[in-house]
Amino acid sequence: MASAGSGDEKAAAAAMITLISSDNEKFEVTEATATLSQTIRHMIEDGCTDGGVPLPNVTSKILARVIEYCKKHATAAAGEEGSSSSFSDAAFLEVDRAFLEELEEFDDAFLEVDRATLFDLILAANYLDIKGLLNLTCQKVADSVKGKTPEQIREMYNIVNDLTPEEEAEIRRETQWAFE
Amino acid sequence: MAPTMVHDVPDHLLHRVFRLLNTHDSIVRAAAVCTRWRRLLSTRGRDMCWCRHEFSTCIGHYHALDRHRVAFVPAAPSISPRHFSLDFLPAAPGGRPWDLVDGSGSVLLLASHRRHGFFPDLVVCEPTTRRFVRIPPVAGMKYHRCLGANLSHRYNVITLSSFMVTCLLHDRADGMASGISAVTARVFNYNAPPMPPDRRWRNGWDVSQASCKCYHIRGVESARFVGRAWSTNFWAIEEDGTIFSHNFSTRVFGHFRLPEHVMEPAHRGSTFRFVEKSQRQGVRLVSLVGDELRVFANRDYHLLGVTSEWVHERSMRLPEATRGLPGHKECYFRRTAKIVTAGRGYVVLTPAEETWVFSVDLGTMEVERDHIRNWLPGEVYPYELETRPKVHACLRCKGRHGSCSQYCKCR
Repeated sequence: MASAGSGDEKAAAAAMITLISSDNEKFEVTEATATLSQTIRHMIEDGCTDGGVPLPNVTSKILARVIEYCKKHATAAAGEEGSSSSFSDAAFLEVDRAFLEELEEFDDAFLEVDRATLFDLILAANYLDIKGLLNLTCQKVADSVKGKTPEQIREMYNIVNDLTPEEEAEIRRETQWAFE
Repeated sequence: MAPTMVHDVPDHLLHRVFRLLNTHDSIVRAAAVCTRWRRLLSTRGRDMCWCRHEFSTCIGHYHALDRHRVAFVPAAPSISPRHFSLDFLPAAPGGRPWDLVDGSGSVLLLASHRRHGFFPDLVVCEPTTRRFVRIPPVAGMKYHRCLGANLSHRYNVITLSSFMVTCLLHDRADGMASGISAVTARVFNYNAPPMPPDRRWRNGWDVSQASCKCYHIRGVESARFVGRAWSTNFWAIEEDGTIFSHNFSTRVFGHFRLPEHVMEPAHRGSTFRFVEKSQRQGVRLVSLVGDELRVFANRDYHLLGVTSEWVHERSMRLPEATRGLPGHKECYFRRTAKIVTAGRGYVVLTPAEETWVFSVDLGTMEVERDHIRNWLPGEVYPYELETRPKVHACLRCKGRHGSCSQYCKCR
């Protein structure tokens, strides 16, 4: 048992990946964490991660947040795998639900950021190809748009209204029912 | 470094966000924010491909009820049905009422039937903008009889700015044995005035040689409409039990007989309906024999004439299947049931005894009564929202497809 454990540790230690942000800051993460990103997974598969993975589109501030997300979700995934083998079905479901609730809470807290960071996270999630994070952040933006009037949306996201008054009047006329 | 703003997010990611806007009024409001958002939320697809947009744009259903009534049931309680009434339509010539005969995108086709089934008065209207366009009769065919009229489209979602009406007309064929009629399909094109009509698609009835082809068939006077699937309308010819079809997209006629295992000669008078199968080009035939619902499938509508292709999918006895539903009575289905309407993957039925509408999902055979389409008995047409990429047509720039009124890249 002991020897197997140390072997695992060795493998885990060997599987550390260095990510380099656009401002040259280095982040050490485990392979399990890094492979949540399809982009990095492909790099690992191609064996070109020696000496670190440069991510020129992601700043250190955003990369730190992305890694925080990946770490949480990677441990959650690992925990689920572990639990499925050692618990009975009912117990497994219980643990599963607890995990999901915890994960949801984490996601909610994770999204409590200002708008600029939220858009940065969307761009980073897209670049790194992390499906879960991309869905999460897009949903957050969609939720913030829902139920708002065009003026409120423009104000919220600093959008310049480039529709002419005639066009706006036309839109109002056609979609009167949606503006009440 | 400047903070990241919404305009730094590329189109495909913003589009991803909009796909998550699942309420109809949110989509309309977001489309009124700025020109970029309007373009991304347009229902004409992206990047010159006419692929279907990914967000739900159905804002309600129009029901064609008996006694010429039309009712609108909104898809969400926040939508007020009073914006969708048809009270702006003037009465048809002779004070006759209008009947709803088709609906597609944000327009409805209404017909006012004349005596002897002669060419009806037709009007196409758009309730949200309260505008309508009258369709004049085809020159020289005013006294032809009309088998059916429907809306069709060149692009995905049609509006009052661009639509087509296909009318199937028939008349006694000259020099043929009695009982044989010549059926012809005529197409009416319409493009709203700011858009210069394409040379190939002039406004008005198409008079080209190709569109005036006739199909000779016996007994078309006894034809009964039995459904639509993949742009093909089907009629059952009662006289000889054959099926007559017309595809209004490819303009191809078809005439075939259903195989014996699908339609036993004894059941010729029974109700049946062709329904679109969700899988590409698949067609289902739903038939009611007594209190039993039978579902047959054909994987390609091009093969409808081929005997062996019909597969018996499922059967269901209606009294047993509906027993648990609210309002069910034991006396139902003593006689038979009626098909109220049908759409892709579902059929709406009612027992013959009284109006008690329920729908059957043809994929799972699940029976339910709560869906919005089951609220009223009558043919149902979903009413879909349309947002154009540009509010006003641009007449300055000339693209490969004429002026860029549909797609403008000049701003």
